[in-house]
Formats: sequence, C-alpha cells, structure tokens
Amino acid sequence: MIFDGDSKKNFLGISFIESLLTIKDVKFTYITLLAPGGLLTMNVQDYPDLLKAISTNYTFQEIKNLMLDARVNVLDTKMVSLDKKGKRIGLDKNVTLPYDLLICTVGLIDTQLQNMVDPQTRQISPLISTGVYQSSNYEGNFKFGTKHK
Amino acid sequence: MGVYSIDDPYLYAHFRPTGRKEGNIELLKRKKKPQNCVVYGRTLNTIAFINGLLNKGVEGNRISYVIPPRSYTKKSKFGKNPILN
Repeated sequence: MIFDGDSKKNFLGISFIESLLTIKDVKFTYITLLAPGGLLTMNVQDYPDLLKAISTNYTFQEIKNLMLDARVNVLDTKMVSLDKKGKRIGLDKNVTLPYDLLICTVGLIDTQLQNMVDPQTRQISPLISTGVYQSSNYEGNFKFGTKHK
Repeated sequence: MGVYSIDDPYLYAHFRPTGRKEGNIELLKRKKKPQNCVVYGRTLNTIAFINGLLNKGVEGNRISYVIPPRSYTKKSKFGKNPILN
C-alpha cells in the first residue's frame, strides 16, 4: 500500500495511515509513504525550528507521537510516472516501485513552484499565487530591481 | 537562483545549518559580508519563516520583510458590478 503526498503541506496521507494503523482487528503491513523532503519530524526537533505554520488539526507533538517513520516506510522521493496495468510507480530517482494499492493524497499543490523565475529571460512570473488575484499596482514583465508604481 | 517558495518540500533542507560556507544559513550568519534575505508575503507562513530564521541565529537586520499591498483586482465574470463581486 503506497501513499503519495506531500506530508508537510497536507496531512491527508498521514491521517489516513493513522486511521489504518488504529484498526484493532486488521494489521496492515508494508505501508509506504512517499514524502518529498521527508516527514516534518525528520527535519524539525522542536517548535523553534519550524519554518512554516502547521495549518492542520495535528499539533507538532501529535505528529511526533505518531512516530510514523518507525511504523511505516517513509521514502523521500516523488512519484513521476504511473503504470496502472503493471501496478508500478516510477520515482524521481529512476526507480520503480510495485504496489497493490495506491492512494493519492496530494491535496493542493503550488503549480507556480517551478515557474517562479524563467531561466532564459530571468523574469519572475506575474502571478505568485495560484489564484486569479492580481495586484492593482502590478505592471507586467516584472524585473528584478524595478519598483512597483 | 536564490529564490525559494514556502511550498518547496525541501525547504528545511535548503535552510538547514550545514557547517559549510555556501549553506544558506551560514551565508546569512557569517560575520564578513553576510548576505541578506527578503521574505515576501502576507500569510502566517511568512511570519513563521521569519521566526524560524531568527531562531536559527540569523540577525534581524539581515531580513527584509516585504508585505504586498492588500488591495487587488479580482477577475470576475460580473465585471465591475459591486454587488455581485
């Protein structure tokens, strides 16, 4: 059973796994969580080390108490391809992983992450967020060093 | 490029003290010609990120906090109708 999702931004996969692990009569083995960047508790020891707000129902201590990295397989990798017929997923490290069940819990993904700066023109993309909001003072073709009107 | 998104899954790896001279935190903390950091945003994550940098030992005068204007123009099907917008 493989869970694919960013565990830092959304905790859908983590809450799903927690629900499965708390079922008394059924024991799930070989649960794998794909978590690019690792779990939050792998990078943060305590509250002062946090670089982002935790905007879920889990507190930091609850995430620590889950001890997911000791109970399931956590892979610091992304899923880049999917073979439904062969029941295999391709990871960004040129590795394929077979699965019986694949649960996608990616949630909301910032599509502008890779489009912040155009390497050829060295200009920042006009939209910082994924929404349709546009600053009233913004002028197109924003360049480093220019000022907003 | 030196531009990072708060949604980067490897954000903690980028801003982890590495002990090397070229690490982001080391560049911000070094005594000779320390680099500056600009944090742009108006969300809770922005403030949490600044707090995290300060807790890692980065001096406050190295951090510039840019708050974008609150006013914005929202594209809508209803044009400039104030009621439906």
